[in-house]
Amino acid sequence: MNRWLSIIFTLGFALVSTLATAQEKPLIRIGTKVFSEQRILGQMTAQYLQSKGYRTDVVAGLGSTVARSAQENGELDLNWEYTGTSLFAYNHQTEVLSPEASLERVRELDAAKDLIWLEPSRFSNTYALAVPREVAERDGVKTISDLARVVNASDEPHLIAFDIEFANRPDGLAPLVERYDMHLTRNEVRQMDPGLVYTALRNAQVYAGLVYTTDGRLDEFDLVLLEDDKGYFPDYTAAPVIRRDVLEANPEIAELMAPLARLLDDETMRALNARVDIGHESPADVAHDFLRKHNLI
Amino acid sequence: MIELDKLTKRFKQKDGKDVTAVDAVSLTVNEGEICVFLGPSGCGKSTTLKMINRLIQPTSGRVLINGEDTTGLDEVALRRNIGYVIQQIGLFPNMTVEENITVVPKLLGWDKKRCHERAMELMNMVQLDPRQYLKRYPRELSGGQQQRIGVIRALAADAPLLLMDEPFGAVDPINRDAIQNEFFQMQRALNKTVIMVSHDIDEAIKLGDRIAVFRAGKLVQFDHPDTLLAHPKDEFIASFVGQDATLKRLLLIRAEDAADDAPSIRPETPVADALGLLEEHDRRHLVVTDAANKALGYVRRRELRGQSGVVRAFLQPFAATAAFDEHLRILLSRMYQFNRAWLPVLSADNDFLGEVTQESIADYLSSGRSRGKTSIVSPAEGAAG
Amino acid sequence: MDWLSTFSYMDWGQVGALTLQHVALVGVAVGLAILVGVPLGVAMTRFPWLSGPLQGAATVVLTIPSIALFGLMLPLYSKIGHGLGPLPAVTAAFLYSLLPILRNTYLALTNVEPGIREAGKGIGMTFWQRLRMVDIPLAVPVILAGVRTAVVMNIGVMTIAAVIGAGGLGVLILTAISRSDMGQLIVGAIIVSILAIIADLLLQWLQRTLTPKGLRS
Repeated sequence: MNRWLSIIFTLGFALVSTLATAQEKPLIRIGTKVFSEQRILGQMTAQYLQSKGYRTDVVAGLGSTVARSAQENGELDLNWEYTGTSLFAYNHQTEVLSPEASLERVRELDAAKDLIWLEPSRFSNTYALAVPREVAERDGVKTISDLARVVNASDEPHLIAFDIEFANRPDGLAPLVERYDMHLTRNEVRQMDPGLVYTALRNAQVYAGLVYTTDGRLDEFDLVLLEDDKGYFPDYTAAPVIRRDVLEANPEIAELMAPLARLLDDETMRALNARVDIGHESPADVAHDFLRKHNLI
Repeated sequence: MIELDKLTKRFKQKDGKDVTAVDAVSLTVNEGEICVFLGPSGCGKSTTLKMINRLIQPTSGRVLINGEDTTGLDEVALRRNIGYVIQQIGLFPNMTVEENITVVPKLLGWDKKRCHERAMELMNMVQLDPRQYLKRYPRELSGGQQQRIGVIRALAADAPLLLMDEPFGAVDPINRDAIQNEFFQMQRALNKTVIMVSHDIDEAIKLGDRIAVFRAGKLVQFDHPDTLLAHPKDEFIASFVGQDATLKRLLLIRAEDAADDAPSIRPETPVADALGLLEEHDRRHLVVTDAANKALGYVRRRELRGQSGVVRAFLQPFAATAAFDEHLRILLSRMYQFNRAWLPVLSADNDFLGEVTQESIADYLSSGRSRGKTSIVSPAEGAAG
Repeated sequence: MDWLSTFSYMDWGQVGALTLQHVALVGVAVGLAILVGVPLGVAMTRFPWLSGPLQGAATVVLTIPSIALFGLMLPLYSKIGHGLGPLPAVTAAFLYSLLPILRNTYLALTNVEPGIREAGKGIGMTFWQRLRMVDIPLAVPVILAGVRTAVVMNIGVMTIAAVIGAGGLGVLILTAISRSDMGQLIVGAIIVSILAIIADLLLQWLQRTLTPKGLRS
């Protein structure tokens, strides 16, 4: 009997919540992906907008394509997105552009889908190849070209960890190894969840791995970022992206978000990420702390 | 009580050909009778039975119960008014014995009390202690007990007609005899009309008031068991009933049927008269009765020879006797046991009815006369029935 | 891996909430599957031509990976404003549960001994009476076995539902992976396993209790 009641309740609740739309303060639905940086950005945005009188709802921990798909379908209003992600993953572009050109192009493309890019932050969370410090010191690997040299020089396998998406995108792994003339066998490429790459590097289970430049674990895990000497990895500047209809209903959001975005640069972001990943603080606490420190709430 | 009127069943086989499983079977079963449908496998006896309660729909023909054509009746209501027992018994394992028994009464709307009382009553009828067994589950019972429950489940709603499809087939041979006898007593006491399918000639003879022999979908003979044994209509039936058919008849024929009209004398008859009678009929013994024809004993010729006086002095008690309603198999067995060439047949009140001897038995068996359970049937009547 | 620190910084309140969420998601999904699956199983015995297509469809659905299923449902459910959240997750788990429950119901009902079936019909029970009084009680143990399969399977599947924001213990696990937090990852995985074991034991007990007394050995 109780089961029946709970089912009816769940279904009824679902129905009622979809019907309950028109209310006083506007509701902004914010989506975040799984990794800590996204959660921090989501919390910052939510707490900040709340202090400005909005109601917010954060749906955290979504898969990357899920978050985008949900936003396109009207389930989410505001996501923090990266220029490179939108260009290459969502809009299927292939050309690597400068940071400014990337922003312009992505603005254009997403506007056509009714997604508006607000003023961007100052950090770019792009890809990098990293090696454990011992490896860097022992084998003298400082740039990706160095890595290519080491890999090509011997028959011994050098395992490199990539996240699954990057490994299979046409503008991901294939052009990278081509640009650097790196001869990787299929066996040497290990595909995994992006978060696991760091674990694999820390445990020296792989020789090198694809990491993100603002991740909080880089210092703690003693990883060295290799210089992208041939300039392969594109720009991944982060910016808040909002649905056109929500922006038109609340045009002041664009101006509100600008100061917050300007405060975030590479180092700041990395430090905030470390507090969550290494310091085990909650994203909400870290966001709150940051906002107060900068007098935004 | 129940009449089958040209009941027919035709199927279309997979290859498109029509097969007639039951071909225009017509017969009547009177109230209180046990009618056995007998025949080899595939002869249509089960199909015919199942057309009576419409588990199989007849292609044509009618079933009339107490004069009413059942074709128009709702089949579920029909079945609730007919008891049904099958070989696999089919007790519902998730129900207690009591719940099993009272299924149909409950469906018919009897109240709880009446159902419970009925269950107790029926359990007592089959000698199963209700207090012990009503709460048990079928898997806790032996095969024989389950079979009995199956039968009383069919009787629970007090339906006048009982259909049984090889009901004793699942009971082991050791218990089968006892269970058949018990069933027979029950049927006589309750006066239910029974139609039973069997492939066992001995079972049919034992239980049936009339036997309907089926072959390839047709009813080929419908007679009292003894008539069937004495006058099988064709080769097939003759071989079906078995080459020892005549011996089987021993079970059916009673002492009084095979008794000869042997003479008897009074105790006060003079020995000389007795000897004269013995000489005349070429006999070795004579039964002695009193004025009211009650049997007292017998006298032997060799003991009377050269004697005088009345026979009373030489009266011997019977070493063995035959009751009028005992069947011949028992009598023969007794005759061999006591090494007697003859037995006096006595009524329930000890009246002397005659004697059975090897001769009189053989005489009867070959005479062409045969017996139903209730009356002697002459060959002429037997052929017509 | 420092266990003590794991236990100290984890928000156990949140873990509890996520566990309850997880249980609710699976419970609702399997509950619905029983409500739909058992009657469909009955329908398949009444209309045998249904059994092929229905079982086939349920089997096909089972082969679709959960992430793909969520992806397919997102645009559909977005139309009613529920592309994210528990609804798509419950729908996927519901669809996955259909096959074991449907198939077990059908098998149990068709495997009733022919003698019992014939006796029931011959003494005058209607199809529905036979179903209610005999067939379903006899089928309950087998149906519950199907429910057990569905529940244990879906406790695992529901961890993926975190990617569409449905909540549940997947949140714990996926977050831990993204942060290389082994401690939290193991805690999450262990809780999911314990949940599955407890659910299985509970359902085993239920199966025993609901088996008609006449069938218990």
